[in-house]
Amino acid sequence: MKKGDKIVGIVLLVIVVIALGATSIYKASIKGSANIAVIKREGKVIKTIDLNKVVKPEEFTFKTANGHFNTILVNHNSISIKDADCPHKECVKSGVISKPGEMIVCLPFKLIININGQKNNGIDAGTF
Amino acid sequence: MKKTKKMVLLSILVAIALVIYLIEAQIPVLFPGIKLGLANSISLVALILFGWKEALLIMILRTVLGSIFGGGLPALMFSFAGGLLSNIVMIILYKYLKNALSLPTISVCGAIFHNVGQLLVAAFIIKDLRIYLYLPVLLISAIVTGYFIGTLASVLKNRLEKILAFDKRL
Amino acid sequence: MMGTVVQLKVYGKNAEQATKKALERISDIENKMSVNIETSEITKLNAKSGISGEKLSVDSYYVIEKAVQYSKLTGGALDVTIEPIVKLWGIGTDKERVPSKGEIEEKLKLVDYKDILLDKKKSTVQLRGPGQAIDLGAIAKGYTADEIKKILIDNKINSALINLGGNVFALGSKVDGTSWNIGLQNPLDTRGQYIGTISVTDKSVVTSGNYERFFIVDGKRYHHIFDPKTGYPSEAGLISTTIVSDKSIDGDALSTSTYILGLEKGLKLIESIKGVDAIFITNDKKVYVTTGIKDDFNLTNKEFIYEKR
Repeated sequence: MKKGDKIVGIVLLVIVVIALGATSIYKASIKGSANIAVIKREGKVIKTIDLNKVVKPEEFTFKTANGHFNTILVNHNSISIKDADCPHKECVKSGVISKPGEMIVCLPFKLIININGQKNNGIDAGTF
Repeated sequence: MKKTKKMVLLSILVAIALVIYLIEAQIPVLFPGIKLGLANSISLVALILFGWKEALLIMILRTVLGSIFGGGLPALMFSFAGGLLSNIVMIILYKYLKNALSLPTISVCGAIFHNVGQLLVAAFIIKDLRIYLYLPVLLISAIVTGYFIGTLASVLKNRLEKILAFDKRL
Repeated sequence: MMGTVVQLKVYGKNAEQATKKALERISDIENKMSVNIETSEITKLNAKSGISGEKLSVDSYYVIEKAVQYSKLTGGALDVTIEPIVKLWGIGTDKERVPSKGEIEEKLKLVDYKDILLDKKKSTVQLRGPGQAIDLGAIAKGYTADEIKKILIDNKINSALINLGGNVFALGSKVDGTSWNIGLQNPLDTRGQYIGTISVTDKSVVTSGNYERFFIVDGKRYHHIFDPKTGYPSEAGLISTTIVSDKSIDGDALSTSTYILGLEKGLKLIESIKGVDAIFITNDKKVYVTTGIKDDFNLTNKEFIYEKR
């Protein structure tokens, strides 16, 4: 091992520890009593599901304007993309997510599934 | 060495890089389109044996040809961003610090920046900052693959140098 | 209930019992005051207009009395005798239409809060002329929210969120000690999209806007807040008024009144009442906030311009 290796090694170790620490803190802070799955297409929320409240498995299919689709499978505290007609089906391969902070992405259809720990972005009620 | 010989050697390297790229595309990842970056090992070898221009050339060719095999625009962007950042870092480190750093270390740095590049593209595509939650995982993966590639490159370098030296003498 | 969605978040040992009583009280009030219920006191009162008075429960009498007070305070901007106009336009029913000027002028003659004759001793109210009618829609939800608050407090609840179709009352603070965050609806976007939030404890937050109930004819939007002086939907330059106050009945009455009064008069009125604050949104996307709640209001939607005063 050369001299520079040790320095780089230590620097890397510190960076990794900081990154791990920061993400852990963030995940702990967004943890709430709820597991709200938020499904967005092209940045717009198209559906929110309280995964805590799901009792038996349910499926939803979203179609895009040009006929493509994503089928989403929802279970108690878990959500996944069951099927889609995108080229590589990466989203299907991504598997299941269940905790706040995790996400599944279907890039070709610009579909993102996130899990929020809290409801309503911190808003308790809205007037209208 | 003679021009044709160099061209042939580079073509072989590109082909190998392409094959590695296509195989690693089958490995399941966190996010559609991102890759481990194993193909960058070939660029590293080229960097050592030939120079930075050749390294970049191989990376560009591998990326362009790789995109023909599928993946679409996002995959192309990931490959290019990751490859470019990774190569630039390795080129700079190799040029100025090759005596202070061993190959695995240079390779690890390259691998880290390969993933950083991919992460930046992903953040741009989905416009959601939470993608950075993947950073620790990608860092660790980069260190592991980087070390592996670096060691591999080291071995390849020794073997190829012997072959090429032998060849020159003839 | 009440033709809208009721949401109650109640925390504490007696939460279940308190909530049950609250829901009963909502029904009770609705049965007394709704113009859509044939047996309600108000319906009976309206049927006897120009003839005789109707003896009312404490609830109904109090609300009408309060409404008249507000009519005087706002120079007639709030006027619960607006019902003939409301009925004429039919907003919210399948008979909604744009009446002719003649029809409106005719019905407008029946609109005058001074024709509400109050007899406190007998707890009786009479409408002076035939065809006159009262609609407590602009003030009843606020009253109901205040009554629910009373029930919750009687049941030893000190943390709750009452939301009666957008009429919000935040009782106490949240269980973790922080203030309640109330989102203010973006008048120009779908429900649930907010322009900002206000942090409150023990306050009522009520909004009136031109987006809640309306219909569109020939590209023009006709909403449900009628100007008692013209008989047409009020167009005074505001698209949304939010009132933050201690009592929800005040918030409800003032949100409607200030919408009709417009920005200048509305701000003047609110600044003159102690303990009441407001957030007004104009039709050119400007947001005005009164001094009392400046620090608790957070504008999150940058399409709207915060006007410093």
